[in-house]
Amino acid sequence: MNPEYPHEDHLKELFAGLPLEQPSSDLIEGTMDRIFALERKKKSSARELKLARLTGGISGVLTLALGVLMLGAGASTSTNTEVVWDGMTYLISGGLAALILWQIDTWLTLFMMRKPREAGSVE
Amino acid sequence: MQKSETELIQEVLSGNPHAYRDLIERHQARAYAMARRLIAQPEVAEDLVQDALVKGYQQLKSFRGEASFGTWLCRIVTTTCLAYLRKEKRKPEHRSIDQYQGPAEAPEGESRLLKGERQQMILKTLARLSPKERLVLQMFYLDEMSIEEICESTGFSTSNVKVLLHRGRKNFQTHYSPANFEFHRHES
Repeated sequence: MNPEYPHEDHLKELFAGLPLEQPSSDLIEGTMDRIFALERKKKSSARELKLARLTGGISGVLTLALGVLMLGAGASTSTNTEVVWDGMTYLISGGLAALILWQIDTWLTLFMMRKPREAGSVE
Repeated sequence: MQKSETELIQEVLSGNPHAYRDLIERHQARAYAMARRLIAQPEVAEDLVQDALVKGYQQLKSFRGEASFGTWLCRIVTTTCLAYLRKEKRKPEHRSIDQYQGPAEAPEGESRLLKGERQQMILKTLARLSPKERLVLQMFYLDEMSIEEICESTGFSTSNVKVLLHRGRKNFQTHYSPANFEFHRHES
């Protein structure tokens, strides 16, 4: 059989000596650099999120306190049976305001702290 | 004493990214060889392997140990390279896969039989195959992997691997002819 025209059985023999190209030493170094950058980003994002939650929480509590004060004010100005309804309205509106402000504050903080996507990052 | 792969994986998962270096150092050559069989340009292949290694780090939690770590990593390399090829194919300035050159030079001490023109002929013939055919054919004949191992490393189905192997073999035999290469005409 002409060895230039390989039979199926000869393919293994034919391929056996094909050289294996080695990657450059930059492959591992580059990979590790990217991994460390990812780790740093993950840690700083966790810190930012914690900070955002903290500031959001403080502003939420302050707004809720405002709602309670408003309830108190409503109760002191009402002298009849409407006091319960006035108080409830103030409390619900105060609570809702706290919740909304808390969320807005968190979103805003996260939005302000977000970083542009790194070039060449993994999809 | 060298740590086992399972130990290294546990270290990485418990928050020590440095252990990942030891892990990938063991498989980088295989991962790169896989990428080079699919990708013509060495520098692009290296970038894609790097992408795959980073993906491997990010997805290590999902590694269940059903296959070896090396096989799992090779699968990520294959999917990353195939996704790149799909993306490139859609580009208007898409360059042909026939640019595949194979390894640039044979390292010292290689088999004499395959040096020089014969080796060039094999590489040029491989360049005429599709990337998938090239990959499967070399995994089967050069790396001597079983069909099952090829399936695990590439994510292809058994029937797909068999079809690629059959087609690749046929195409290789069709194109592996001295008449297709200039230097053989000079020889005779």
